[in-house]
Amino acid sequence: MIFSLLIYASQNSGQAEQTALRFSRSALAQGHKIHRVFFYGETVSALSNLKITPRDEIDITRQWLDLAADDDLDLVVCISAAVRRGVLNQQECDRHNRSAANLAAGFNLSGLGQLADAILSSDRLLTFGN
Amino acid sequence: MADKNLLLIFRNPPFADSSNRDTLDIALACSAFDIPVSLIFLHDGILQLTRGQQSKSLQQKNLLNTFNALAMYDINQLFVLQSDLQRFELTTADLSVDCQAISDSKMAQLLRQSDRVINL
Repeated sequence: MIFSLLIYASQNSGQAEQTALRFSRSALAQGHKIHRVFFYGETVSALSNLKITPRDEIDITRQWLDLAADDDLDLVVCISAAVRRGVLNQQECDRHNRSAANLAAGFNLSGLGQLADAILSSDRLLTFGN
Repeated sequence: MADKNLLLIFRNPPFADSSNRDTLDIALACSAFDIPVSLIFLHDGILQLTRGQQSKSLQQKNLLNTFNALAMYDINQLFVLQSDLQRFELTTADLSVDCQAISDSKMAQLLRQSDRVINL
């Protein structure tokens, strides 16, 4: 089965994103495909590469990237959710004339059209929210 | 038209958080991809549609303008629950946008008929 995931939760105040990560690992291990993981709303705040995770805690962003490296995941971040939270790639940094880009490498900024495509291209869309 | 339809659930009051705005943005984007979109306003979500909201004093954007423009995006399927109208002592005439008031069992049917449901 082809899944897509919509992540809409604060990384720091709930376990929804961790549940999404566990679901993804499990689904991939069982031979399912994940077409796209779409990051939306408050969850986007945690995708800054300036974030410091305490040493004895799990960096979920890092774990998404590890999973993506193993299984070629498409990690897409809503561009409007990102720029309003100060999470910029180089292109947005230049466009808005800011001092630095900080989107964690491995994530791609794009529009909600990528969510619409995920809806059309997947057998299931799972939302992990608050 | 796309071969999948989408139901979006609004269940939070206006101005409380960004979920209504975010859900509305999904509606507009998916409609642009020719996905048939329906919206349902549940519980406190119905308050999003009441007339006469004075958002200026909150210095917040009023989403009602966008809700009123949904027909231009070919989004005409808006639903509220009769039971929610009763709970808030409202009628559909109190709502700024044209909505169909449906029973709880009709909502169950709507959920079953929807290929995708997003509830932020």
